Amino acid sequence: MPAIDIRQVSKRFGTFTAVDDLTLTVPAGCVQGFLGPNGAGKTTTLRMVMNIFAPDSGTIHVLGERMSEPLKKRIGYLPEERGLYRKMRVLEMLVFFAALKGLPEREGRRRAQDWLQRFGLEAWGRRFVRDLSKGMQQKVGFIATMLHDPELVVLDEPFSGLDPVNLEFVRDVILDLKRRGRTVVFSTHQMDEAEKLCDRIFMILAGRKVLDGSLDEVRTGRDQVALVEYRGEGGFLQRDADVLRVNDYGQYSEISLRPGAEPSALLRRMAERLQVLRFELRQPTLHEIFVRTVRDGGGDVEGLVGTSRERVGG
Amino acid sequence: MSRNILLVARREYLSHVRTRSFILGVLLTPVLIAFAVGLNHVMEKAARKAGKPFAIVDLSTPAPPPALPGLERPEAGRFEGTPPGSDLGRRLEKSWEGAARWRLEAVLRPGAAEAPALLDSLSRRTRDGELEGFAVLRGDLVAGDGKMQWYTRNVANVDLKKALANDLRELVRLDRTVWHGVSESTLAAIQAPVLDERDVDVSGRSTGDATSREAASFIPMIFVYALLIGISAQAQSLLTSTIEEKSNRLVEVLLSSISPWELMAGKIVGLVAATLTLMALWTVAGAYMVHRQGWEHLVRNEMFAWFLVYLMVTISFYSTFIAAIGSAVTELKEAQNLMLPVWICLMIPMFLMFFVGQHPDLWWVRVLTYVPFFTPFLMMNRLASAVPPGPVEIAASLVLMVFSCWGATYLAARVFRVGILLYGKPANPRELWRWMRAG
Repeated sequence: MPAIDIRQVSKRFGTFTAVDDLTLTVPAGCVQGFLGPNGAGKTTTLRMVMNIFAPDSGTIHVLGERMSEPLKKRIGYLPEERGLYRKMRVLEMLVFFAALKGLPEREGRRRAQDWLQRFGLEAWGRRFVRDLSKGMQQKVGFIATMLHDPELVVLDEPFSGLDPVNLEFVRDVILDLKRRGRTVVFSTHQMDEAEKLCDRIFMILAGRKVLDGSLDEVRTGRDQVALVEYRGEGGFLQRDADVLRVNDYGQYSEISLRPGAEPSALLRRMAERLQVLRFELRQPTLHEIFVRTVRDGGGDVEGLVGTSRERVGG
Repeated sequence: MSRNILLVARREYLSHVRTRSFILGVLLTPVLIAFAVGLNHVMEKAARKAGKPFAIVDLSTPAPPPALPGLERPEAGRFEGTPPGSDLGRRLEKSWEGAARWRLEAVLRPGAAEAPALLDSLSRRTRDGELEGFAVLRGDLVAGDGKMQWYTRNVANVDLKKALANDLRELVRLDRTVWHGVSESTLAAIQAPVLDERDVDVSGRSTGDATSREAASFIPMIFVYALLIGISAQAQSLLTSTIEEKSNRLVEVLLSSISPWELMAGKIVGLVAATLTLMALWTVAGAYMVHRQGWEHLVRNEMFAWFLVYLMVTISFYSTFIAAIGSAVTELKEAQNLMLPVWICLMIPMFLMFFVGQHPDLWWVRVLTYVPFFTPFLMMNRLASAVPPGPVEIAASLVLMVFSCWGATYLAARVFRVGILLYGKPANPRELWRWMRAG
C-alpha cells in the first residue's frame, strides 16, 4: 500500500493553475523528495495531501484512505514557516499540539520532555517560544511534528534558513525516521541534501510532473559528466562533437557529454593535444539534472540552493 | 462538543486570561468599586479643603414696610422679628453655616464712608487668590430695584454665584410676600404642589423618590453600554488572535490536526469564556456595590443574571462574524473596513437606548427587539426599564438568539475555511458573500 497515492489531481487559484493533472505514488517507508523551482506547485501539492486545500479534480489517498480527521492523527506536518505560538511556553505548546493529535496530556508531556532532552532543550521547556533562537524554534517545530510518532511525516522546506549544525540535526531526524520504517516526504531546494537523503525524487515544474522515480532511475539516460584536469590550450573541447557543455573552473573543468558519446574517444583526442592529469567519469548530480530539466522546461532556476550550484554553468 | 474544540478553547482561554491586560482588568475591579464608592466622599473633602472663602458685603438699603391693611406679622423664628428686606446678609450667613464646598468668611456691613476702601481691599484679596470672590448687595432688594452683584476673578466658575443667588432669591421672595401683606401660610397655600411625587406603579414595584426615578432612567443605558464594552473587548482579542495565527502560518499546523470548523468554534468558545469570566467578576462587583449603596430599588437582582445571559449570546453571535472577518485578512488594519457593518449594528442600539428606556413597550421597539443583531441590547434595555418584557418575550428572544448563533456560525465557518488559507489581497464584502454561498 503506498503512503501517498495522488491521481490526476489539479488545483487552480483563479486563472492560475498551481497543479496540473498530477499523478504520483509515494511508496511506504521511503524518503521522497519534492523538488521544483519557486512557485512550481510543491507546497500546494503538500497542502492538498494534508487536505488543507481540496483539489479541484482528481483523488488523493493517504495511508490507503481518503483524508479524514482520524487519519490526520497518523500524519506529522511541518510547514515552511514552522507555525509556533510565540507567546506560549515550549512544553505547554508541545503538549497542546500532541493533544490535538490525540495523545493524552500526561503522555504528551512525557514524550515532549523526552524529545526536548534528546535535542538538548530540556532547560527551555518552561521558557516562552519567542525567547528561543531560530535554530531552537526549528527543533521545537520538528518535535511538535514527531511527538505522536506519525506513520507519515510531511515536511515543507525543512532545510531552509538552517545553519550547518541544525541542518545536521534535521538530516539525523529524517534518517532516524527512515530507519524506523516511517515515510518521509519533504520539499526542498537543497539538491545535495535531497541527493543524500532521498530514496525517490519527484520534480514538479509549472504544476506538472517532470521527473519521478528512484535516484538511479532519474539519472538513467542522462548526460555523463567528465571531470578533467589538464595542461595546455583546451579551447577545442567546446567544439568537440561529443561535448555538450564545458564548465571551466580554472583548477579543473566539468565536461558534459552528449548522449551516446564515447568517453574513451574523447580522452584519446584530449591526450593528443593536452597533458591530461585527470579524467574521471561521474553521473550527473541531482542539481545538474534539476537545472537541465528546469531549463529544458522553460523555467528559471531562481531560488536554487545547493553546494554544487556554483559549479554548474552553461 | 468535540475534544478538539475544547482543546482549542482551553488554549485560547488560558492564553487570554494570562495576559497582563486581563489580570489588570480583574485586579482593577475592586479598585474601581472602592473608587466609585469613595469618590463622592473624597471629592467633598477635597473640595472643602481646596475651596477658597468668599465674603458678602451688605450695602442694601431696605425701606420700612408700609402699614398695609391686613398685614400679618411674620411668624416668630422665621424672620426673627426683622422687617422685610433688612439684614439680608446676616440671614444669608445662617444658611451658609457648615457648607461643604465654600466657606463664608464674613458678612460685612460697612458704613457709606468705609465701603469704597473695603471693596478695594476685597477686590485685591480676590485678585491675589485669597478669596473666591465676594457678593455686594445694593439698594432695596424687596421693594425697589436693588441687586446682588458678584465680584470674582474667575467668571467661568458660576456654581458659587448661583448657590448664593438661589438662597438670596428665597429670602427676598419671602420678604416680598410680607411686604405685600401676604402671610407665609397664605404663600404656602398658593405655592402648594399640584403633583403627588409618589407615583403609583400598578405593577407593584417600588418607585422611590423623584431623584431615584431619574437615576433609574439611566440604568438601562448602563447595561447596554456594558454589553458593548464586553463585545468590543472580545472583538479586538478575536481579531488579533485569528490574524496572528493566519499570518505566522500556525493555522496550517492546526488544520493538519483539526478541521477549520473546530478551530473557529474552539477560538470562539475560549474567548467567550474569557470575556464572560471578566464580565462576571465585574457584574458580581457591581451587584455588591448596588447592595452596599442601597440601590436595590433601582437595579433588580435578576438584572445581573440576565446581563450575563445576554452578554453570552451577544458575544457568541457577533464572534462568528468577527472570526470570519479575521480569517479574510492578514493585517489588523485590513479588518477595519470589513468591521464597519459590525460596528454600525452595534451602534444602532446605542443611539436608541435612551428612547427605548423611556418607551420600552412601543410596537416598533418590540419588533426591533427580534432583529438578532439588536436583540440582546434591546432586551437588556427593556428589562432594565420601568416596563420590562414578560417571560414569554424573554424566552422568545433567547430561542431566537440560539438559532441565530447557529445560523451565523454556519455561514461564518464557510468564510473561515476559505479565508484562513488565503494570503495577499484582503477579501472584500462581495467575496465574503460568495464564499458564504459557495461553502
